[in-house]
Amino acid sequence: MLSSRTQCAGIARRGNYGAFLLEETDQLLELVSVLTRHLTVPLSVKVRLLPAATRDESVQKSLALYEQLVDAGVHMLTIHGRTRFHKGVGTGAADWEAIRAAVDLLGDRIPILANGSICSRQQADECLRITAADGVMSSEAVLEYPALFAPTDMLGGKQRIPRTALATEYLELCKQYHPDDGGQGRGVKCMRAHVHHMLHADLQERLDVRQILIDSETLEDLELVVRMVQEMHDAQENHDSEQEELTWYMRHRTLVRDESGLTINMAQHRKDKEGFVDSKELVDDTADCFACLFDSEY
Amino acid sequence: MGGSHSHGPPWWKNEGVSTVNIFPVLSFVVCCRRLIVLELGLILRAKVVSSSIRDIRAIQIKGKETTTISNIERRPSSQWEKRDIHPTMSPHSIDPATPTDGFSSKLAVDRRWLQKLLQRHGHSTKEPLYVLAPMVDQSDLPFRLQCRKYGTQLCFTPMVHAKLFTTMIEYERRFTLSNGPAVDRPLIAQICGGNPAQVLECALKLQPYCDGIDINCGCPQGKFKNASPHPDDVSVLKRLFHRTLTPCSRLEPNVQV
Repeated sequence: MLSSRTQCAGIARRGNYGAFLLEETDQLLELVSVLTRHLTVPLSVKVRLLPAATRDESVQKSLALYEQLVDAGVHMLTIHGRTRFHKGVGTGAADWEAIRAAVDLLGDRIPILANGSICSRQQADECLRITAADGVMSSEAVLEYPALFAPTDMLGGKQRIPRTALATEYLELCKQYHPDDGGQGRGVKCMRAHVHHMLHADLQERLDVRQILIDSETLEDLELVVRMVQEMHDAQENHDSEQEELTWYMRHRTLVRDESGLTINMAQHRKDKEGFVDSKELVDDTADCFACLFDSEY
Repeated sequence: MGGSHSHGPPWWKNEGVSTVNIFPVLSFVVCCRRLIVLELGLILRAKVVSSSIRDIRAIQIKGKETTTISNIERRPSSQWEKRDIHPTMSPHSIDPATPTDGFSSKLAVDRRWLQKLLQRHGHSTKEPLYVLAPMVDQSDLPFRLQCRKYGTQLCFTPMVHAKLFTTMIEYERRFTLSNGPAVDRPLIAQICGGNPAQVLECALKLQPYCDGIDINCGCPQGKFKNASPHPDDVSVLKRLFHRTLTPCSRLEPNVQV
């Protein structure tokens, strides 16, 4: 009963298929034309590059599709410079030149946002320069460091905001606007994942604290985790919050050598050696997984 | 029965419905209640089976089915056109004389709509535009507010699953955008779904509270592509079932694993 074709779920193992819809051109164009006929707000489509045998072919196919979308009345495109096969351990760098080609072709008709391989403000600006896109979108790096786009004058002369400060600030915001209550999040699961992303580097070192995070059921538990990490930082004399790095973002991007001398991915290495669990597995999405699979309710 | 209704005996003492007539019926019900429950169960089960057969047929003709969005188009569009729409919501003025068939409400594509939108929300168009991506269960309201504090100018909502949104009150409540504060704008709502009628219904419900609708064609996750049951898919499905601690038995009639 795999009846649904095009749902996508960003978290692993769910039903379908965002990027698969991209390859069902007729269905996608029909969807776009229905929406543009009825909506009173602009319609945007988030796309990837189409998979093909060679890069040139992939770019050509993608550009043709984007043009069709714009002809069908789309008001904005967000282009992720990877195909759907570039994910997890095979992520690789995003193809900004391909986005540039799309901007050259369609940039005078609609705004285009560039997405992929953004892990700092400098890189975001570099991406804007190379792609000439209207804006730049980031996902995973912002998850780990929400102040990624902050201009230097906002940081008060510092390089970075300490990650514990960011986690505390997020939890304070959650008290005011709870993610469950019309906040489009899944309550404590959502907050837990955020805290995990922000404090990933510390939690890799302290598995006991990480276990408290995994077992946490309330916002107070999460605050306790942040406090423990803060105490950890205070106890470490050499911890410099300005030198903090993005470890969660880099988990698919850092290569290490295992005992046999083979180059393997950092995430895979940790999984094998330390029982490392990616934060995505912290999120219980069984119900949604079924929902998407069967195109039905829970 | 004549005039007995005015000051006669109560109705159960009437000659029309005597205890002699009603007693066998009652005793039959009492004696056979197990049988009746069984019968009702069979009838209900038959309905479930027939509806699942209908589902299968619907999938088989899915290619044709998706072109019919008659339910949505027949619905009086006044239901959504008369909504209280905030003037800053759309970069284009909404023509109140939009024909009720909805077909002429297509917005002209304006190259500068995004710039105008940002300007209206107090962002300079000279500074580079930084955007927060739609992320499942992670682009939630408190996180968006935190990102906006640090220089993100445009945010996307987490992906909204059109079918769940249009069929489940609980899901719709979680993904409602109406609670958001004014600072959580400009905001684009991301929707996923392959059924145009459902995506449209979902989009129409969300559009009064956001500045744009996004269709998700960028997510690489997911293992299931084919619309029809396929041997490989079924084997994947089996694995998934075995991995789940509590298989949901009411799905089984549909699955044929």
